[in-house]
Amino acid sequence: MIFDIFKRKGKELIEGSKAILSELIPGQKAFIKSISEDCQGIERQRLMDLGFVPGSLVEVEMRSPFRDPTAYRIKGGLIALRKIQASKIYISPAVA
Amino acid sequence: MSSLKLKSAHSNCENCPVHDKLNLQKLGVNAENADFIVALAGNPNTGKSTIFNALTGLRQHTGNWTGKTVARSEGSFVFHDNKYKVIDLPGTYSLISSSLEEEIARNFVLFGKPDVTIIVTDATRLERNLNLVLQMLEISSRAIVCVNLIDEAAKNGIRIDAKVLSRDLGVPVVLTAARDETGIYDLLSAIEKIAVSTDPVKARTIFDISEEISNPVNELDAIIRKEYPELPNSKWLAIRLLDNDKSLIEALKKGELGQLKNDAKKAVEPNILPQDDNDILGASNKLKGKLPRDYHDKLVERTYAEAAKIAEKAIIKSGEKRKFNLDLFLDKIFISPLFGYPVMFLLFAFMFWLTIAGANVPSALLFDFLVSTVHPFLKSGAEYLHFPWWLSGFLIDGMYLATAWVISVMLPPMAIFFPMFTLLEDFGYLPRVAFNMDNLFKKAGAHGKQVMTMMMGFGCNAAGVVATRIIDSPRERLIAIITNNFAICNGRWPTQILIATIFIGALVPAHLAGFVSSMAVVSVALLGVLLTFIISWGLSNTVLKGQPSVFSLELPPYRVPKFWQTLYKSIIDRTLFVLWRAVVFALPAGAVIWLISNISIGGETIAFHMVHFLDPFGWFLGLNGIILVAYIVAIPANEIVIPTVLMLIVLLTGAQNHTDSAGVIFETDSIESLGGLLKNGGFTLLTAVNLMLFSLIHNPCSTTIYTIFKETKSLKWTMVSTFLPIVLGIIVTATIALIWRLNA
Repeated sequence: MIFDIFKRKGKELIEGSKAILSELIPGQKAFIKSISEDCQGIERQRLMDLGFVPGSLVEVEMRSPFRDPTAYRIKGGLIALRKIQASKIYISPAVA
Repeated sequence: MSSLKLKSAHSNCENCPVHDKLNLQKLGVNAENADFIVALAGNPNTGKSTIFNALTGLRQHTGNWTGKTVARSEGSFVFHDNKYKVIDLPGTYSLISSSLEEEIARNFVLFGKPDVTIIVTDATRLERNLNLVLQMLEISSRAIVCVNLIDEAAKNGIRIDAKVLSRDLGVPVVLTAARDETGIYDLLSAIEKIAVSTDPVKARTIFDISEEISNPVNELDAIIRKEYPELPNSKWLAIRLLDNDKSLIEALKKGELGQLKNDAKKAVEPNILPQDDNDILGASNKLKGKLPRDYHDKLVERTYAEAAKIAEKAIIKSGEKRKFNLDLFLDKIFISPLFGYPVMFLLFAFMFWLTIAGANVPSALLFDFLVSTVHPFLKSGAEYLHFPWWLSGFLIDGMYLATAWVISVMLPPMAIFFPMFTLLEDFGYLPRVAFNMDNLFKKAGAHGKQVMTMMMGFGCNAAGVVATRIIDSPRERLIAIITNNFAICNGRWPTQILIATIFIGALVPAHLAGFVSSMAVVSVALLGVLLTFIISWGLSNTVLKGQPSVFSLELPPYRVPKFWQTLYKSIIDRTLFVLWRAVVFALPAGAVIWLISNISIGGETIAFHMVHFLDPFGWFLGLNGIILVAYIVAIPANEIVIPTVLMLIVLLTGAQNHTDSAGVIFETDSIESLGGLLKNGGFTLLTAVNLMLFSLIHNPCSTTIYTIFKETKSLKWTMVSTFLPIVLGIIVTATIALIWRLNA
C-alpha cells in the first residue's frame, strides 16, 4: 500500500502531472493530458481507439452501483472504464 | 457488364427515386457470379447490420472467416442489372490495434480488394468514427462514407453537412437512417458510381506531423516505391512497417505485397522475389531506430486531430436538444444503486418464467405430434415395408425417438428465450447489466460481459460459448468459455424441475410443495452462479494468470429494436444453429441407447452389464449405475438423461406396464407414477439431491464440447472445460454421499 503511494508519487514527479481521470466525480469534465507510460500494448491502443487521446474533452457520466466501473462521455460515445484504467489517464482541468 | 441505366432519359416517373428503388432486388444468400464486391466496414453499434439488411434483405449467409472465430456475413443484391456481393466486415474502432477483427477488416480491404468499401458511421459519434474512416481512406479511395442514424442525431440537435464532409474526405458521403430505409437509394447510386468507375485505387494523402517522423517515413516510402511503383498506398505501408505491424511484416515475408497493385485484380502470380521484400524489411528495421519513442502515439493523435478538425466543420449543432433525454432517464433507473439490481432481477425472472411457462404448451404439442403420432406411424410404416425388427428398432425407436425428444424439449424454450435475449441486447440493456455487474466479475478476474454469456448459457451452453465472442480480451473470454457450463442450460431445467417436484416437494405439506421444489431448483441454479465466480477466480489466479487482458465496454444509446427482424435473425442464427448441432449429436446417441438395451451378451443386455459395472461407483457418489449410464450415453444432449434413466429402469426392472409412459411424463397427473417408477429403480432422497447437483456439475454436452473446441481451437482448453466440471462433480457428490451416510 505505502509502496504504491511512493510509486505513484515518483511517477507524478516524472510525468509532471497530478490529476487523474479516476478522481473525477459524475458531472465533472476535463481534458485528457496523457496516458501513463505504465499502460502499454493493446490496452493503450484500445484506450486511444476509443477516443482517450490528448486534448479530448471527457465528462464523467455515471458510476456503476458498486462504484466501479465508471462511464465516461468521450467524443460522443459512452465508454465504461475500470478504476485501474482511469487512474492511468492524466487530465488537466476543463475551463467551463 | 450491363450498361448504366442511371442517366438514361425516361419519363419523369421512371426517374424519380421511388421508382428507381424498385430496381433494387435483394438477393439474400444467392451470391454467385457477382459483378462487384462491396465491403461494409464501421465502428460497432453504428447500425452497420441495418444497412446490410437494407441492401441485401434478411436472408444472408453467415459463417466464420476462414480459420477464424469471427463471424462473417455475406449477402447480395441486384441494382440496375449489376449484381453486387456485400461482405460485412467485423465492427472495429480502428485498424491498428492488432485485434483479430481489425486484422480481418483491414486485410480484406487491402488484399481482398473490394470494388467499393462502405464505411458506416454513427452521426451522433461522428468524430470518433472519423478515426476509422481516415484509417480506411489511407488504404483505399474506392470508398463511401455512410453517415447513418441521422434521425437519432436530429433528435439530439445534430445535423451533418454531407457536402462539407465529402469535400474534406475526398469521397462521397451519404446520409442515411437505415431503420426506415432513408437514404438507401442515394447509397445504392453512390455504390454504383464507384463500382463502375475505372479510377484506380488511390490513397488519401497522409499529413506529416513533424520532420522527426516524416524523414524516416519518406525514406522508407522511396524504397518501397522503387520496388513497387504501382502501389497506391506505399506511404501508408511505410508508416505501418515502421510501427512494427506484425501482420503486414508477415505479408511482406510471404511476398503478398505484389497483390496490392491496382492491376492485381486477376489472380496474381507471386513473381516478386522475396529478396526485394527483405530489402524493404531491412531498411524498415534500420529506420525504426531514428523514430521518436512515442511514434505510435503521435500517429494515433495525428489521425484524431484531423478527425476533430473535419468533424467540427461537418457537424451543425442546432442547439435544440429535446428537453426530455430518454437515455439519461433510463440509465437513471437501470444503473441506479436503488433500482438497478431489482429491475435486473425482475426482468430476468420474468424472462425465465416466460421461457419455461411459455414453452410448456408447444413442447407438449410437439411431443404429442412427434412421439405419439409420428412415431407409431413410422413403426407401422416399417412393418408394412417388412423392415426387420432390429432395423426399425435401431432407426425409429433409437435414432428417431431420441431426436424427437431433443427437438420437442429444446426447440420451444429456445425459440422463446433467444429472441427475448436478442431484443434486450439490441435495445441496449444488456451492456448496462454488464456495467452493473462488472465489479463482481472483476473480483473473480473476469469481464462484466460474462454476465451476458452466462445468461445465454441458461438457454444453451453451446450458444453461450459462441456468445463469448463479445468479450474481446483473450483471458476473460477463456474464463467465460470454461465456466459457461455452470449456467444450467435448457436441457437440464426439466431434470431439475422433475426431480425437485418428485423428491423435494414431497418432503413438505402439499400446499408448500410447489414453492419448496421451485426454491430447490433456484438454489441449484444460484449454486451454479456461485461456482462460476469461484472457478473464474481460481482460473484467473492459476492457469490463466499470464494471458493478456484488456477491459473496455461501450454503452450504446438505447434503441427500439426492430421486432420482426430481431425475431427472424435470432431464430435463424441462434435457435436453428443450436438445434441443428443438437440433432446431429442426438441421432447417434439414440442409436447407442437402442443398441445397448437390445444387444445381449451372455443372456443380458449391454445396458444391464454397464449398469451393474457402474453401480458401485454410482453408490459411492450417492447416485446409481442407471444414472451414470444415462449420463454416459446422453453426453450428446442433457435433454435425454431423464428419458434414458426411465427407459433403463423399465428395461432392468421389467416394469412392462410403463413402456408407454415416456409419452406422458409432462402431464402432472403422471408425476406420481413417474415417482413410483424412479423409486422402483432404487431412487432415494440422496439420489435425488445428488442427481440435481450432478446435473449442474458435470461435463458439458458434446455439442458444447465441440463448440468450445471450434471457438478456442485448443485441445488443452477443451480438455480443461470438459474435465474440470466432471472432476468437481465427482468430488461434490461423493462428499455429500459420505456426510449423508455418516449422519444416517
